[in-house]
Amino acid sequence: MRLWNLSTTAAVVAMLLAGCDDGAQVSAAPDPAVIARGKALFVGTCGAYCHKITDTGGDALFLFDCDWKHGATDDDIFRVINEGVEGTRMVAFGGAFPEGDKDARALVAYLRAASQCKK
Amino acid sequence: MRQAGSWAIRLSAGLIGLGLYAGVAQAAQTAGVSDEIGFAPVPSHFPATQPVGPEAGVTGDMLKAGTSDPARWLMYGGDYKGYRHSPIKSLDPAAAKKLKVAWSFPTGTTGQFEASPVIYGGVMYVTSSYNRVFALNAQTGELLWRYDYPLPEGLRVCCGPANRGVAISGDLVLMGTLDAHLVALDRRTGNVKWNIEIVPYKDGFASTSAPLIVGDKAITGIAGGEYGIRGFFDAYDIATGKRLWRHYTVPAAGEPGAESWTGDSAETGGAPTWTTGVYDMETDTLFWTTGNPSPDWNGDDRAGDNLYSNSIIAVDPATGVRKWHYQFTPHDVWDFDGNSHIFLVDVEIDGKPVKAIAQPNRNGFFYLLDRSTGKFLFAKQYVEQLNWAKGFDEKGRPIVDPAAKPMETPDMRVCPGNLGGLNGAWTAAYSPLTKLAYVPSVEACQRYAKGIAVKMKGLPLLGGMPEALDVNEGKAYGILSAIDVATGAIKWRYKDADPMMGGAMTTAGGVVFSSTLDGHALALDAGTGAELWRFRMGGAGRGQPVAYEAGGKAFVAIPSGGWATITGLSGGPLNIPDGGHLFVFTADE
Repeated sequence: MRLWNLSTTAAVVAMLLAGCDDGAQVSAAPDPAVIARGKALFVGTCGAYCHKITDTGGDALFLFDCDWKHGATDDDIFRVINEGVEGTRMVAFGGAFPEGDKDARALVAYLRAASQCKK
Repeated sequence: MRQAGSWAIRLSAGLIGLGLYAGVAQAAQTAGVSDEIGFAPVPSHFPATQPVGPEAGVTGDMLKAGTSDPARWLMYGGDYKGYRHSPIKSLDPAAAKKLKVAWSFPTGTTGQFEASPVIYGGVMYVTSSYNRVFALNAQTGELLWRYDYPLPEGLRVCCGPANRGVAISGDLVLMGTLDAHLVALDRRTGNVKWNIEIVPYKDGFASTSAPLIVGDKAITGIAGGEYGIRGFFDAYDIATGKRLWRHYTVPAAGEPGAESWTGDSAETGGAPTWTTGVYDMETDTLFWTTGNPSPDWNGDDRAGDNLYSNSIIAVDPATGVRKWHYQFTPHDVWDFDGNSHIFLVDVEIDGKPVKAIAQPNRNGFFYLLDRSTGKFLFAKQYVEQLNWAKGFDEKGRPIVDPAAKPMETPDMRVCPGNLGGLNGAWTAAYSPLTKLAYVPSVEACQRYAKGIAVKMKGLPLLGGMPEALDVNEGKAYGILSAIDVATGAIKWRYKDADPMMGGAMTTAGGVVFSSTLDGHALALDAGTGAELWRFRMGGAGRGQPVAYEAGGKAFVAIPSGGWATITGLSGGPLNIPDGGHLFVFTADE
């Protein structure tokens, strides 16, 4: 499976969406399979009592508004996923994913693709 | 014991070390009052300068007498049967209409205020979120002592920093903590007598419920069903804090029930015990309930019934050895924890007396079991919307609609949602006078999505998520149902525009007290459900009302204060800030 295919329509959409955030560092856009993997990881691990798919408030940040509290680049998001945020319920997931860092990157890809920027 | 000062220093040092931005720094300055970040408040300890309350401590006979002395409310369920019923006759419908604030008290913490206050000797012992304990003059609200438990970083709390109250015995009040400790305080001074670790919290555990005192033992459960724990409940020696027994709720290899798990799934099987049980004095039997199997919403790797998740377990309190069990939701994939309120009720069925145990379950069914054997008597739908099961077989096993199970691309609107129904985070009540159970509950159907779980000790083990369908469409609402425990028939229903997630309490005067997510204290006629009184407390109603007498007056205490993360999932108002405040009402001059 090619992980970083720039040629698909989804990838272009993802790039455009990610580009809404001035601070975002968009290095590449993944293919739909990666986004789907990221979505499955998000659904199975990040949602429920934590991050919502609609902005209904709460202590866990809404992740689809391009307002990145702990750094806006792909690497920043990857780092937060792996290292957590001290003082919050966001624990460190580094080393926990079935496919390791590849899964963490897939999560980043999904968050980028599914985000709806405010401006 | 860890010191408060070092906690504060670590918090500050941690923030500086992280180089966090201004928004977080601001949140730290107002630690404990930020909705967004969720820092625990900086702890403090203000012991009493003079001993408070009577010299004579709480005895076993007092506990057995339950609420029969109206000056006392000694345990979470009010009495060992779990009724949450006050004998105060003067708290009748006429008085309810005249209730006014006698006093109020702030907790200084955010997060849902779910406590059930304990009243003894004119002193109220009430806990807040983040494990604060306040001893207050029950008549005036004067602060007598205060203890803030020093919580560490990195708590594993799926669903908020809640605590539901203390247990009281002798000269001690006991509290479970969010870092999975059990701490005993001197009830007269607030000084710590002992503090023991139940289990390492970083492995996914927390304690949120009030312990239950049985004889010389304190029984406590544990939370962690969203972290892939192996559940258990424990008995501790009250005098020393020494553990006397542990009852695991997921069997080890070779034990009965192990065959209901596949692979190594039992090792992270969940079945938490995060609510308070009840005790049958006649048969010396302890009843405790268990929650969801882990991962919550993906059962692919745990084929089988997943015993003893979502069950009620009867044990010998001397040994913790199981007498019987009944499983409400075998192989749960909806997060239908079986931890909601239970009552010991004596009913008549087909002309014969039956000693039964009743539960309005989170899955939307009201159950009645024979409490001597665990035999299933009936289950009746008590919520307005239910479609995950189509009924029960003769042995009491639900007939599940396979289409209701989580899917990668779910399209079925499934009822109830994962919060219930009734949920263990708030109580129901039972009046032995009306023989009705009063059950506040949620009507908010969802779609259940299945995804990929990560499996590592101490991390969330979820496997899916509920999609808040009715919430997003503005269709969520709440009901408080009056249920005939002998038949499961609905006598009346009270409806609220928001899910009803505040606990319940009844009085001998014929009033049901509860609260609403939009911040109202509520009094209903126990016979008809007619609204008698409401008072805008402000913060969301998520606590457990109690009633008591002090100084010749009758009082009703109702906590106020929600937690936005759960409010958002349930469909309650999102614009009401968090923040705990206790309101105490009286109709007496």
